[in-house]
Amino acid sequence: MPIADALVGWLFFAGLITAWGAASSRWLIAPRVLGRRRHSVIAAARSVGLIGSTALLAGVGLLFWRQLRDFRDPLVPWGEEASVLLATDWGLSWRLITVGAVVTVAAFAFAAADGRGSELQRAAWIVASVLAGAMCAFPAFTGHAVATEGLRWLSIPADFLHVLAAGSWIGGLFFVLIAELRERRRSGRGNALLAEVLPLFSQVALVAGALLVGTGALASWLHVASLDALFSTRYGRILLTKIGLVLVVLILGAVNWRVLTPRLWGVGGARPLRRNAIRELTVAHLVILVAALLVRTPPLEG
Amino acid sequence: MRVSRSAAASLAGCTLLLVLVLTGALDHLALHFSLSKSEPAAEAAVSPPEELRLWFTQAPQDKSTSIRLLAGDTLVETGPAIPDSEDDKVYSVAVERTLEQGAYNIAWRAMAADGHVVRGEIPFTVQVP
Repeated sequence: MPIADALVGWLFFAGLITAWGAASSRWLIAPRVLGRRRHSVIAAARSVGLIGSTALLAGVGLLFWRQLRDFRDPLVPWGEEASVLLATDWGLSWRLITVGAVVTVAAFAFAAADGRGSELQRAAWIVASVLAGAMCAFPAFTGHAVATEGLRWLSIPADFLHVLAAGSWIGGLFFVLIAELRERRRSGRGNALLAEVLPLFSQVALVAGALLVGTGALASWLHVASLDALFSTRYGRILLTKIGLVLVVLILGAVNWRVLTPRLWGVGGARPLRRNAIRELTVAHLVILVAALLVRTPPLEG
Repeated sequence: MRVSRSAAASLAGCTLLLVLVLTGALDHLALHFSLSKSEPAAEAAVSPPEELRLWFTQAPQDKSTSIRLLAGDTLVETGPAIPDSEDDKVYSVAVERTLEQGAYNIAWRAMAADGHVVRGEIPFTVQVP
């Protein structure tokens, strides 16, 4: 079951950061894209938001099943234990994120596909974005951050920022790929869109990457008691795996930014960059899978 | 570029923090949720207890704690698990009848603030003089 459990966590986190990545791209990148292409980029953000929030909703449902299975006293009926679980702090957070995920799916579905539409359709973008951002606090209130006695004032905001930064980067990268795919289907070439969107995305990714590394280092300090614990505990070893994969993502991102973006108009066009971006996204999702394992592992358990 | 410079400064700060962490220059206490002690204690031989009492290393989530008393496979009736009014890391249940001599088991379960569900068993023996 550990693999199934980790996949449930991956689906939840992937949905969460993809939904937030769509929202942050909608507000940080799309408004700076010029002309008609802006509408196409907003439509891509909406598609990514719908994919992310739907995955999040499925992940939230499976998360409850996983928690109930762990929680259940075998002498008590499932329904009775479900009521007890819902009455805990974890259950309260879960109810909030479930409502949030349902409303976010509906808001993304209703949001103006091209940024124009009616007042209500434009308001739906704001609702979806605020909720997607707010839901990024769920892991902080149900994970190791809230259990950090005495330093919650630091660990909870840091964990919240960590998830927001992951969304802006990894979710934002997915948004760039979807926007390019839509443009390629429409016009046969994605170079022009990438040439305009990538520098904007790189600015967001740089800040998000710095925040990710900073808040990640802080969480390591809070949860890993010593250097020895990095190697002697299961938590430490999973953390090392995560750090290794993050380094791979950073290198792939740097290659995209510094080497492949300037070659967009060269031989092969956008293809080398697209392929490398897909590699970066794939390894980033492996990081999310490892992160899902990490949050299930008590820090001091050998 | 301004963004690049601020990102580089942040990365440098993070690297410094990571180095401090890895060299152990920052000391802190990380606690893991578990049972620290119980009354009756594990493997103890005791006179019939009126209540079962558990001490945790951190406060469990409200309403998540379950404490059951078993004689073999049979459930012995107890009251609900109640937190201590002065210490939310301590939970107890009242034993609703006088236990007979024999072997018993306390099966407990609680959920930590971080959602980890922890459970265990505490075997003990009741001796009637």
